[in-house]
Amino acid sequence: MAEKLKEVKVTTALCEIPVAHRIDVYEAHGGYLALKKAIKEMKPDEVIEEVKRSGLRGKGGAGFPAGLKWSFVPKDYVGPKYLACNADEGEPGTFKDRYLIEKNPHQVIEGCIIASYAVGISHCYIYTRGEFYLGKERMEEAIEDAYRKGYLGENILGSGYSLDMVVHTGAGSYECGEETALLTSLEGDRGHPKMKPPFPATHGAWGKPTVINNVETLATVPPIIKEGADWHTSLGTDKSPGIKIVSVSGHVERPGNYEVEYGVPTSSIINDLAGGVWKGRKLKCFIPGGSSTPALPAEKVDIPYDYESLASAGSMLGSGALIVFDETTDIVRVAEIITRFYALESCGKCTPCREGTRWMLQIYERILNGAGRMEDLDLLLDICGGVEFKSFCPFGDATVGIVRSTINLFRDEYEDYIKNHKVYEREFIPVRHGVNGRSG
Amino acid sequence: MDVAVNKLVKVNINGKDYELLEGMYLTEAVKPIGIEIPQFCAHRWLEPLGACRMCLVRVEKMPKLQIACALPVREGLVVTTESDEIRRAREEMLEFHLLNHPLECPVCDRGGECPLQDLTERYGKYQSRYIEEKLIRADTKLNPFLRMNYKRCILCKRCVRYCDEIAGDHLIEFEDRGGWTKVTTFLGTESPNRFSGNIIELCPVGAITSIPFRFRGRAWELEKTRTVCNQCSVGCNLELHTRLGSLQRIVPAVNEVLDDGHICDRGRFAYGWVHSDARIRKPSLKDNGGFTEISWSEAESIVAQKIRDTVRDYGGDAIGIIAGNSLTNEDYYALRLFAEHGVGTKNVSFSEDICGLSAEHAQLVNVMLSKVGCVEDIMNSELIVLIGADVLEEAPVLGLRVEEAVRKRGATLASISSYNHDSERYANTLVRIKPGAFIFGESAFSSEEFSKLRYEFENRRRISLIFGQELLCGPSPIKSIKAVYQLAQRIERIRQERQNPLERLTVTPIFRGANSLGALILSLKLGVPNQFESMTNILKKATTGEVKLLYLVGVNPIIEYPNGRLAKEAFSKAEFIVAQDLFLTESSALADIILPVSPWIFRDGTYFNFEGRLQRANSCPLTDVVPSDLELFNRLLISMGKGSQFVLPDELFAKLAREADFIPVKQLADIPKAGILTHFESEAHSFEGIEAISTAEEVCSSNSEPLKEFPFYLVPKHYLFRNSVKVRHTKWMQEVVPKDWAILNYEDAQELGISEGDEVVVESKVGSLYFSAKMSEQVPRKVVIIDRNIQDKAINSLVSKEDVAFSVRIKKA
Amino acid sequence: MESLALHEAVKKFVEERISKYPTKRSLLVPTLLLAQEYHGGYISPELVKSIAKYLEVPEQEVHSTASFYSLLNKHKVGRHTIMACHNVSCYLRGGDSLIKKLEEKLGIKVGQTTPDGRFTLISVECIAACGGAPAMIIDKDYFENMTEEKLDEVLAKFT
Repeated sequence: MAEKLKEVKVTTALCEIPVAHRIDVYEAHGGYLALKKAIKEMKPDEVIEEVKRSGLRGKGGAGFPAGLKWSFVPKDYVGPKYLACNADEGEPGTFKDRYLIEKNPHQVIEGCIIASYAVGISHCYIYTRGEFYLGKERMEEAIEDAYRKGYLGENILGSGYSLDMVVHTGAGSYECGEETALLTSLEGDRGHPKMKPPFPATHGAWGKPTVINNVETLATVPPIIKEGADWHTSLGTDKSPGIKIVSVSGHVERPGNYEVEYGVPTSSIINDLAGGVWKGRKLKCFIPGGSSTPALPAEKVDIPYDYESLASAGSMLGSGALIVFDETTDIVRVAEIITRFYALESCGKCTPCREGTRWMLQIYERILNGAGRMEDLDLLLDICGGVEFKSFCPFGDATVGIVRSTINLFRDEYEDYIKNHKVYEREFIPVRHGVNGRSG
Repeated sequence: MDVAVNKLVKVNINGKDYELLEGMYLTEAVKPIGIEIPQFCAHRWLEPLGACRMCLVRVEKMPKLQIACALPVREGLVVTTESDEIRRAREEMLEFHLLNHPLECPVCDRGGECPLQDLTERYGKYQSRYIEEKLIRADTKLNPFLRMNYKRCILCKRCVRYCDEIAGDHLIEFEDRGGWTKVTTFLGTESPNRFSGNIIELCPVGAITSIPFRFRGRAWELEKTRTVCNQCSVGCNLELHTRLGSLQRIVPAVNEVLDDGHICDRGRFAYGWVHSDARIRKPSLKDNGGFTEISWSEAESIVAQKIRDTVRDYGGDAIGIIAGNSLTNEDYYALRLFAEHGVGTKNVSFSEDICGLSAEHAQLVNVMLSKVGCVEDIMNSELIVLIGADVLEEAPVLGLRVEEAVRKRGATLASISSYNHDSERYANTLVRIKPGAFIFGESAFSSEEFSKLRYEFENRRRISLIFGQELLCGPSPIKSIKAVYQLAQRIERIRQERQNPLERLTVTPIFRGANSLGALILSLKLGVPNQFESMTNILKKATTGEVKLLYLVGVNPIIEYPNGRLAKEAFSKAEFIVAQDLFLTESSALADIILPVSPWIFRDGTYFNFEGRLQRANSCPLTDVVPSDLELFNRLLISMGKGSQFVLPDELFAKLAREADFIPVKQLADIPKAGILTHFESEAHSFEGIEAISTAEEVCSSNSEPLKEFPFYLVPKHYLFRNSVKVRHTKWMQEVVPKDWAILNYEDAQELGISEGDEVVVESKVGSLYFSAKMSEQVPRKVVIIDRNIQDKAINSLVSKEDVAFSVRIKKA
Repeated sequence: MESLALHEAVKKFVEERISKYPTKRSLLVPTLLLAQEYHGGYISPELVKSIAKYLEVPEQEVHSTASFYSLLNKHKVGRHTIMACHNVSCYLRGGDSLIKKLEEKLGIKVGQTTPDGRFTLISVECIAACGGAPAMIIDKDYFENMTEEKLDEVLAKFT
C-alpha cells in the first residue's frame, strides 16, 4: 500500500500556532525575510521574473499565472497603480482565505508588499468579505504593526519605495469576488463587472493599472522569494507547479484545509487527510473545485488534483474546494441549493445570467415540489447552453456546472422526483433577506 | 469612446469584404452597409454596457462569441453576424428577455414601434417555454411624466445610463440585484429632470411610457408632422403626432447637427394648452371691465377703424407695435409690411429679449450676428465660457451638447456668474462676480478672479463665449452685451499681439424666444433701418401720450418686461390696446380688444434658432378655428383698405428670401431637413460700434453697490419649467413648475431667522412681494434668486427705475 | 425627509481612511456597513441622505449601491442577527436541521424578528466556514460545528 499523503505546509505552516497573527511571532518564524530579500537584493523586474519562473498560478479560481499578470502592468505608467488583494471568499465550499487572514495575516501582507514592489504599486487594498469581522480585525492589526515596523508606509526598509495598505470591506456579494466587480465595489458602486478589454492591468480601479490577486496566491509569494522559483517548481506537476490549499468539506470525517502539492490523487486528499467518507459510507460523487465546478462521479476519485487533469475529466480545480457527497446525498436538492446561490448572487447586469439563474431555480423548486416534467431536464440543459459563455462575466459560466453535471450523472434521481411526483420535505423556507416574498 | 476620425479599414463580414470606419463599434458601423445586429442595451448616445447579449457575433480566432456593441472595427477583422450558431444565440437571449415580459403588445403604448416586438417576430418562439410564476410588481410613477411598468422592463439600463451619463440628474437607478433588480427612484427625487422624456424612446420595450400620452393612440394611427420646437432658442426638431383632431404627443425628430435627437421635457410635454378650453377662440371686446365675444368682421373693422382714426389724428407713430420673440419669420415680415404699409409707424419693436434695443444699435446687432457660433463651433471648441448663462435651463439641449463637448471631446468649460448653477457641473474654472457686474475691462481682465481664465484665453485655439439670461435679465443688458463683445475683442487683440492667432472665436447669445434671432435679423438687417424702436421707448412713449394705441403681438410685458411698473403705466395711459394672443394673460387682460391667434403647431414658416440656422416649421394637419398672426395682419390690411399684401407663408418666405441676400434658397420647400446655417459675413471681424466700457459704474450704473437699507441683490431667474401662461394651462406640467421660492444663502437665512419654507417678504423701494424661503449653497451671501415667472408674483413689480431693480431687503413675514 | 447627523465613529472611520483613496465615494460600501451598526441596524432613507451628503455621492446612487449588498439591511432588524448558512457544505452536515431548530427555539420563521426584538433569523449563502459545518454567524461572531445541544448556550450569549 502506498504511503499516506502528507501535507506540504507553505502558507498554512504557521496557522496552528495560536498567536501566529502577531508580528513578533511571524518574524520569529522567518517572517518578512522574503520582503527584505526582495527589496534589498532584487530589482522589481527580478521579482516578477522569479515569480514568473516559479509558475505560480492564481488560486482564486481561474489559475492564471501570477507573474504574467504582473508583467502586463505598464512599467512606464506615470501615476498611481493599485493592488487589490481578493479576500472576498464566497465560493461555496471554499474557506481557505478566511483561514489565512485570520491565522496568518502577515504572510498575506508580506506577499502584497512584494507584489506591489515588483509592479511599482503605491496603494494596496485588502478587499475583505464583510462577514469576516475577525479576519478584518486581524488584518488591520497586522497592517498597523507592519507600518510600525517599517514594512509599510513611506520609504520601506530604507529602500525609497513606499506603499499604503488598507482593509476594504465588502458588504455581502459573491459577485464582488469577480475581479472587475471587485473593482467597481472598491470604487463605491454596485458590484457589477466591468467590460474587458480594457483589462485591469491597464485600466483597473479608478481607471488606473491594477493587479488583483487572491489571498492564497499572495501568501505563496514570500516563500517563493525566500526559497526561490526552483523550490516552487520542484513541487507539484509540470504545468501546475507548487502547492494548493484544498478546502475539504461535506461528507468526510475531518473537513478542513489541507495544503498539498498539485497532482496528488484526489482520493488521497479525501482519505488520507480528511479521514475518508464519513460514517463508513460510500462516495457518491465530488465537486473538486467549488460550487462552480462540475461534479465528478466516484469512479474518478483517483484523478490527480491539478488543473490539467481535472479539466480533462470535465471539471475544474477552481478555488480548490473539494466537496464530498456520500451515497445518501439527495443530488437534486444539492443542485437546487447551488442554483439558488447563483440566482441570489447574480448581480443582474447581463440578461442570460440574471434570467437564466432565476429560471433554473424556479424549475428546481418546482421539481422538488413534485411538479417536475420530464422535459424540464432538457430545458435545464438548454438554459445552461444559453447562459454558458454568453454571459458578461465568468459568473454565468459558473452557474451551469452543477446543473449539467448532476443531470448527466444522476438523471435517474431527477426522473425519480419527476415520475413519482416526489416532494422534498423542506425543513425551512429560505427567504430573500430584506425583501418580501420567496426567493424563487 | 473617442473614435479615430475617418480612417477606413478592411473588414470581412459574413464572407464579404467591406471598408468601415476604424474604431467605431461594430453594431453602429455595419448599419450603413445594410447589416443589422440586434441590440437592446447599446445606443449610440451611451457607453457600451454589454448587458443584453443580443449582439453576440463570431469573431475569427476568439473562443467565445463576442458582443458587437463593444467591438471596435479594426483592420482585418473577420466577423460572422449571421449563422445557425448566431441565430440560436439570439433566440436564447430573446427567450431570456421575454421570461418576465408579458406579450401584451395590444395594450402597450410601444406596440408597433417596439424593438423587442420586432425582434420577437424574428427570433421568438411561437410558444413560451416559461411556465413559472412571473415577477409581479406594481407600476410606479418615475416623475410626473413617466410611468414605469416593471413587468415589461428588460433591465437594459439604457434609461439609468441616460440619466447618469447624459442628463446627469440621477433620476433613476437600479435597486436590488440579480433577477430581482428594478429601476426605481429614491423617494422621488428633488433634482430637476430636464431630459427625462428622452428615456421613453430610448426604452427598447414599453416599460417607460409617457403619462400624458398613455393610451391615446397606436403608433401607426398617428399622423406625423416634422417641425421645429417653439419653446426656446435651440429649435430642436420635433414630430407632432396627431389623431382624432388633437395633438397627442410630441417626440424628437433627429437633427444630427443640432439636437442629435435629444429634446427637453418642456419641449416634449408642455403642449396640453393647445387644446385647452381656456384658450381664446373668438375676438373679444372690453366691455364694462369684462370681455364680450364679437364676430371677426366686427373685430377687424373696430381695429382697422381705431388704427385709421389714430393715424389720422396723431400720425402713424402714435401706434406702438410690440411683438414677442417666438413668431415665425413670415409673421415678422408680415408685421413689418403691416406696420410700414398699413400703419406707417416706426414705433415697432420685435426685441422682447433686449428691451432697450432700437435702430441705433444696428451696428451692435451686426457684430452679434457675425460672431454667433453654431453647435458644431461650440462642440469643437477647446474652451467654452458661459457668461451669465445657466444654459441647461435656458437652452437645455445646447446645454447637453456643451456637456458632450466637455465629456467626450475634452473641451474646457468655464463659467462667469454671480451664483453657482447646474450648467457649471463640468466646469473647471468658475469666476464669481457681483450680480450684474459683467465687466471685462482691463482692470477686471487682469484681476485675480480672471487669472485662470486669462491663461485659457491666451492659449486655447477655439473659443466659444455663450452669454445668457443672467446677463440679459440683469441691469443694463445692452452695456453688458457690449462688455462681452469687448472681451472677445480683447482676446483677439491679445492673440494677435502674441502672434498666437485664434482658429475660431464665437460669441453666442442665448435669448429666450424660439425666433429671437429672427426678430433681430428681420428688424435690423432688413427694411428701413430707422423704422425700429425699442420696447422700452415705445412703453415710455405710451406713458407720455406720444403713443396712443398699443398693438401687442404674442407678448406679455406686464409680467415679462423688466420694469413692471413702467409697463403698467404705459398700459393705463394708452388710449387703446389691441392684443393678439392665445390666452387671457396679465397683459391681454388689460387690452381693449383681443384677437385670438393659432398656436405654433399650426404654423408653416421658418425660424432662426440661436445659431442663425434657418429651419422650417410645418403645421400639423389639424385645423384650428382661429387665424395665424400673418393671416390676421393680412385681414386687417384688407379691412383698412390697403389691399392684400400676402396670403401664404411660402409667398412671404419667397419675398423675404428675395430681400435677404443671406438666405441662400428661394423657396420654403428648398430648405433641407437640417436647416440652413446662415452666415453674416459682411461685417464680420469688426467690433466697430462697441465703445470702450471699463468700469463697474458704466455697466452697472447706479447699481454698483446695493442701497444700504436694501442690502440684497435680486437675481431674476429664467427657469426651464417656468410657469408661463401656456404651462399654466397644461395640467401635468404643474407638478414640475418651480414653487414661489426666494432662494438665499444658509448664513443669510440664519442671520435673518429664516428657515426653509418660511414665508418671507421681499421689499424694494417701490413694492413688496411674499415668497417661500429656500436655502441653497449655490447662492452667495447677500443674493436672492427668484423666478421671473411666478404667477401673481411678478418680480418686475419691484422695479422702480430700469437700472435700480435689484436692491431688495428680505424679512420673515 | 431630513438627513440625520452621522455618528462620530462613522465620520472618524472615513476621515482616517480617505487619504488612502483617490475618491471619497470609494469608501461608500464599508461606510454603509459600519454606519448601519450605529444607526438602528439598517439603511434607512435618512441614513442614505446623510451618507450621500457626507461622501458627496448622489442619494440615488447611495440607495442603489446599498440595495445591492446583502449585509446591508433594508428593514429594521432585531438587536442580534443570526445568519445561518443554508449552502451546500452546511446542508450536507445538518445545516437545514439547525435552521429548523433555530426557528423552533425562537418561535419565528426565517426572515422574521422575535417579538421582543432580540433576534432576527436569516438563512444565508456560504460564509466560508464549510470546514466547521454547520455554521452560523451571530452579529460578528462565527459559530462552527454547531449542534442542537450547543444552540442554547450560544444564544444565551446574546441578550
